Parts: sequence; C-alpha cells; structure tokens
Amino acid sequence: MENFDIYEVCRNYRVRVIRVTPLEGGFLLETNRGPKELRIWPRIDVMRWSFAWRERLARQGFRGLERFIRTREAKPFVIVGKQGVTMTDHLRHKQAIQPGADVSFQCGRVIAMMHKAQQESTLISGAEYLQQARRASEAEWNRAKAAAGTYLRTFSRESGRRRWVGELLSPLLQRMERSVRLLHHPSISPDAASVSHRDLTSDNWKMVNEKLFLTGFFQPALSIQLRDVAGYLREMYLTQADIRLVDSFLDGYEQEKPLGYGDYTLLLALMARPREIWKSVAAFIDETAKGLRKSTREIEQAIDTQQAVDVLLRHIAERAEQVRG
Amino acid sequence: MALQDGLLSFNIKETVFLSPDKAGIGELKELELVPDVEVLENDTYISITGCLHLIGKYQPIRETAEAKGSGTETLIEAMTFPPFQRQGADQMLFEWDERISHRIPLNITIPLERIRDASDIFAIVDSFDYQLESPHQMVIEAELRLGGIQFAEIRETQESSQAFRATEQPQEGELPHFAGDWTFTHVAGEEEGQSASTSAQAELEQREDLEQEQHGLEEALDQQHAHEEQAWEEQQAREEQQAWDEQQEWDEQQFADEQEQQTDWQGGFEEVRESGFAQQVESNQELEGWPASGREAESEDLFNTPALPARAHVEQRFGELTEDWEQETVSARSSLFVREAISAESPTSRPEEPLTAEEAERVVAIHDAEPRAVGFNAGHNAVESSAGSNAQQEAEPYPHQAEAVNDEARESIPASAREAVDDAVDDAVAEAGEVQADKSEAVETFGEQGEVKVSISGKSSGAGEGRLNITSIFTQASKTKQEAEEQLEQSSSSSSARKGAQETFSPSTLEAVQNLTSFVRNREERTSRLKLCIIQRNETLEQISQRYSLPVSKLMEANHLTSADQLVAGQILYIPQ
Repeated sequence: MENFDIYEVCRNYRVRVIRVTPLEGGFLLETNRGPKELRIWPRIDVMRWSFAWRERLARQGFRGLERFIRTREAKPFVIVGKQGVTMTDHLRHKQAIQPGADVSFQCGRVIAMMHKAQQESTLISGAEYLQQARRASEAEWNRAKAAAGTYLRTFSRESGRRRWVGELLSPLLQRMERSVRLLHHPSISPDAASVSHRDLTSDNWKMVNEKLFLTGFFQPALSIQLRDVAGYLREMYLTQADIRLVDSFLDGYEQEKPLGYGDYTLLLALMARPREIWKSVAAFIDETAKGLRKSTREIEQAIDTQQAVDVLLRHIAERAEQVRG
Repeated sequence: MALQDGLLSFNIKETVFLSPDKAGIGELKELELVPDVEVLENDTYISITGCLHLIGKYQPIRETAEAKGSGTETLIEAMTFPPFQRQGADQMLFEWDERISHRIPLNITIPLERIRDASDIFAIVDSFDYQLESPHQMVIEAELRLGGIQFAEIRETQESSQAFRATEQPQEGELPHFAGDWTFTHVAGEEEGQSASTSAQAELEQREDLEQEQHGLEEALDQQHAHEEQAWEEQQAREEQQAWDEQQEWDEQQFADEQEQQTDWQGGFEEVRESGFAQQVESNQELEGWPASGREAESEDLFNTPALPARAHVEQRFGELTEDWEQETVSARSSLFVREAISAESPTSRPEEPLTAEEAERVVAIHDAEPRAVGFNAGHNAVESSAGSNAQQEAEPYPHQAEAVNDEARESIPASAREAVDDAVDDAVAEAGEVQADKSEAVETFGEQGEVKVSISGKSSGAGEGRLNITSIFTQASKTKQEAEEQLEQSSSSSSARKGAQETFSPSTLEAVQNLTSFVRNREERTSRLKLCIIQRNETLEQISQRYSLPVSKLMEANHLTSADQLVAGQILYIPQ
C-alpha cells in the first residue's frame, strides 16, 4: 500500500478527520460526518468493477450493502497513484445473523442478485478466471501426485503413522482428480463464466436494523462465480451441520438465478477439492521428508471435516441430478 | 502325476477368485505356496493331510478412481468417494499391500509298505507360477512333489513289465515309470462331491444288482462284447489326440499279455491328469463301461459287477467315482479292458475264507467282465514278492476250480466286489489294493501291493469335499485277506456307516470303517517353501537379497541369472529357502 495523505484524500469527500484507526486494507475514520471507512484498492479495475455491481445491486432493490460515497466531484473513488481509494459508511450497530432457513434463503437470494449484477459487467472476463481455476486445480493435482509418489517410494515399507498417511494419498488424489475433471466438464461453458469475489463467508452477513446487510468484498481476490457459494455452503454446513440451510440457500439463489447442470457441476468441482486434508497431508509429507516428526492431529481433524463435506457433496449432487432429470 | 527324480510329482492348477469386497489385484508383490500338512500313520497306511496354503501380497488396483472419473457419469457417482480411513482403522480401503490367503486341501494316503519311515516323507512345492486373468481372478500352477516313498520296487516292476511287453508288443510306446504298479484316479471339479456323496448308495445298489444279474451273464456277455467293441473304436480315435494314449495302448498290451499268462489282478498305470480343478467329466462310463477312477478302483468296481449284464451297474458306480475324468479317457480304457475282459480269466489263489457257491458264480461273472486288471499287474507282482510270502501261506486253493475260473480270479473278485460296494471312492480303492495284495501274495511271482490315494482340492471346505475336487488314487495291494474280510463284513453290516464314511472321508473315518485298531499319530513331515518375488520398478537384486537375507549369488543361481542387470519390473524371482 502506497503512502498517501489521508487528509488530502478526505478533503475530496468534504469531511474533516478527527481520528484515524488502521484497519485491514484501510482505515476507520472518525469524521465530522460520522464514522467512515477508507478502503484502498490495489487494483483500480476491481474497484471500478466492485462499484458497478454494488450500484446495480442497489438498483435491483437490495440496498443493504456498503456503497461507495461520492466525492465532491461526484466520483465514487479517488485514484492515488496506482491504487484507488473508496469511502463507505461505517455501521456501528451491525449484528451477527442468526442461522435459519429464512435467513439462509435470503442470503442465497441476495448472492444470486449479486452474481447477476456482477455478470452484467464486462470489465473483467469470467472465461479467464475459469481457465485460471482449471490450471490451478490441475497443477495442484500434479503436485500432489508427485509428492505422493515420492512419499510412497520413500516410505512404502514404513509402518504406523507414515503408513497411514500413505494410505490417505489414494483417496486424496482421487478427489483432486475428480475436481479437475469436473472443471473440464463440457457442461461448463467458459462463455457463461462470470467473476465474483473469491470469498464469501458468514462475516459478510450482518443484521442492521433487523435487515440483512451484505458487507465486505473489499479484497481484490476474484474468482469465477460459484466459488464463493461453494465456500460459503461448505462453511455453513461445517458450522451448522444442517443440510436444510444449504437447501434454503440454494432455493433462494435459484429464485433469483436458476442454476443449470453446468452450474452445479462447477459448484461441485470447486467444492470437491479436499483442501484441508491436502494441506495437512502436504505439511506432514514435507516434515517427514526433512526427517522431522510431525503430528497427525491436523490430518485427523481434516478427515473429520472431509467426511462432512462428502455428505454435502452427495446432497448437492443429488439436487443437481434432480435439476437435470 | 509323474515320477521325477524319485519324487512323486503332482501338477496343481487352481483358479483363485477374490471376493468382490476385496480390492482387485493391481500388482502382485509376493506370492508363495506353502505346504501345510501333517502325516497321520496307522498300521496300514500313512495319510498326508492338510493343505497347500497360498499366501501373497498385492497392491490393489485403483479401479474406482479410473472408472468414475470420465466425466460422463452422473454427479452423484462423481461425488461418491471412498472415505478416508482414520488412523488405526481395522480395514483400509486401499491398503498398500492387500493380502491373499487361500488354502487348497490335500489328502494323500500311502500304504505303509511303501514307506520306510514316516519321517522320510517330505513335500516340496516346485515350479510355482501364476497368471492374472483379471483383477479378481488368478490362476496358479505348481508342482507338488512327495519324497520318502519307495519306488525301487516300482522301477523293477516297470522294467520287468516293459521287458515283458517288449516281447509281446514291441511297437507300443514307453511305459510310464510305475505303470502297472500304480493306479490312480484323478477327479476334478465341484460336481464330484455330489457324485461321491452318493457313491456309497450306488455301490450298494450295484451290489444288489450284481447278485440279481448273475444269472444273465451269458446273455449280457454278447451285449457287452458289442458295446465294448464300439466304444473301443470310438475311443481309439480320440485317444490319438490324448497325451496319454500310449499308456492305454500299453495297457492293452499288458492285458493281452496277462491274459495269456493269467497272472493276477494288479491294477495298471494310468497317467494322472492334472485336472486343473476344472474339467468335470461326467460318468460317461455308462456308455463306455469303464470307470474313470484309478485302475485298481476300476478293477474293484468291475470285479463287483457282473461281467456282461452288469454293465449298467458298472457305469453307474464308475460315474460316481470318476466324475472328473475325461470322458475319452474313461471310455477308452473301459472299452479296451472290458472288451478283452470277456474272455479273460486269471488264476487266483483262494483266500482262507472259502467262497460260497453264489459268491463263486458272482466271481466268475465279475472276473469275466473285468479282465483288464490282469494286464496291468503282470510286472509289479513279480517285483513285490516280498509281501507275498505271508499271503501265500494263507491262501487256499479255490474249491470251485472246475468252473473254469481260476483261483486267483475267484479270490480277487469277491473280495474286491465287496469292497467296492462297501466303500466310497477312496475307501474302495484302498480296499481293492489290500485284497489284491492278498491275491498277489498267493502267487509267488507277485509281490506286495500298496495304495496311494491323493486328494487335492481347490475347495476350502472339509476333507470330504476336498477329495472330490481332484483325487488321484493309485493303489497297490498291501493288505491281508483278513483285513479285506473284516472290511467286507463291516460294510455289509452297516451300509449307513459306509455312507457316513464316504461323506466325511478322512483318515480317521476310514479307519473306523475298516475297523482298524491301530493308532493314529502325528509326525512332522519335512516341507520346503518356494517363495516368489515379483520385481518392482527400480528394484535391484541387492535390495531383494537384503530383504530375504540371501546372498546375491544364490539368487542369481536359483534364477539362472548371469548378471544383476537382467532384472525387469514384473519379473518373477524365485527365492530359495
């Protein structure tokens, strides 16, 4: 983040700064017009794109989100050097949402609206991000295969923990391979691919004045649409362990934006990758190759997580087949 | 079966199917066939029972990932994964090395006369090889060798037989090593169990038929001639394509020779087929009139059967006994021997217990019907004269010599007939051997006879089932006449007991049937293991030698390797023990 004069930037917004508090990727400002958040965008194109979908989403009727405050020149952002700066209102009375079918339904509906809004923008190509996702998935799979091969050749006659970890490699690689193949499924059209923010978490949802509020999305990391949904559903099922919430979210989503078979395929492909297990197993392999002794506790926890994810995958797959059937 | 380097050799071919719940074989790591047998001894025979244990390790095939990753399957299938197993779980879905464990039941009975000492007996598994038919199907082939069995006498017998044959039919092929001295029946296939289970009942029925049909011998003689001739001709054509047709021809010659000499009833040699547990030979003997089982067993059965009208009975009994024989083999032999048997009469000595008139008539009929056995024993009996000394004293001249049936024939026929009726396949063979031994003893030129019964089964069930899968029986007469009489009495007195003995055949039950009072004891036999190692990628001879704690030179010598660079992934390496 380049150094810039906050007061100079704030002068464009006609606010007088009383106190500045650093935030991740920005600042919390106490101004004469109330608390404000100053966000710094390393990528100006993403900032423009973000502004576009926010405004479109507001025009669709959902105003429970953070919109960029315009400068005195009526510009929604300030460009300082190679980065952009935006200012939004800081809501002091945001509350966490209470999980439930209705809320989940609304969340799904809002995300679908957001995706639609993002889809209308042509600033960022979704096809490029799809290809990027495919390449990244395949590369990771190849790395995993190489690591597994090396590990098995080296420690194939080991016993105990090392043997057990070696036995995990086969189903691990199988999932990764499946993810790669699904990403290349012909039902997934690059032309229809769109971009969204990479991560959608429960922190993006707040309740303000008993209304659902969508917050965040100031990170520049983007990806193809439905990756955010995949991550969100995964998180929701792992934390709530309620498959009905997943269905409600998808129902709400499909109310605004129907999901086709290709969409479900993409969703499952992005969700099937055993990220936790691979991460823990890769760490174990690295430590073992160095002759160090590493605990398998993380792997065991990842297995627990993956077992729940497997249930979710199966459920969504069944739902997808109903769509097709 | 064959005799090589003084060892009885049996070819074993077994198809092993993995259960569907086991992962398929992707790559075999280790495979070995270990004899796991014990030697049981009583006063008449030694039984080698146990199994051949197939043990192996393999890397399972990753068929799940390959089958469901094409992208054309439904998403449900695509999202069906094998679960990750927790540490310490009992069953891993994909173990690095899955294990194979399969047992091939084994039951070999050897007459005590053939063994100097039970501790001399040893079993070797040699020439072990395998072939993967599919990830869940594997065919193994091996050679089981038995040592510690006396064959010197057999060789002498063979030589004498060959010499005798040479004078009569010099154009015949080579005589098997112990031709004429050993008779065995090789039975393979699962259906055999059914037939064997009913063999006792069939034998009883046949015995009844035997008595009833004695009166129609002359009429049946003509029919028998016709059938035999026809069957013989048909079989001859098929025999030319058989590997062992030479022996049949030799048998014919032997038969003719013995017919002239009217020697005794010793069983001849039949080559043991390896059966491969596969060939299910139905009792085609109904058409051919000759049993598929070993010759002594056949001769026994034939002896029990009225010569001509009893053809159907013979067929039925033999069918039970010899289901796993090839039809051609059976028919050929039956035709050969029965054809000539009609006119054959062999001298025999009268056992201590005189025959009744009815028995004598039956003997005549049976003997006429089954003169085949005469031809086979010509050679051995001379060799086995050692055991014949005692029997000769016991033998009595048969009182009905005027009936144009010589003493030997009469004596052997009733005894064998009773035994055949009474006993199951193995039992019948065993008894036949005993009885024939007595006969041969009566004739000074004939020696002792023993019996060797071999049962190798791919079934993992009990011994009764096991002997039905592959049974090789080769008999020698070694028992006394008294024992035969005891068996006869026992069998005739309790048919149910006989059935039970057949169904649950084992050395112990056999003893019970035979009313033997001898004890059974276990002795450790010498066994040898043959280990196989399948060379993995980048594996070197040094690594293997270290793994098995063997010098490289020994490995190279055992595998005929000239250099260590000859190793190729997938190559089978024999690990000497």
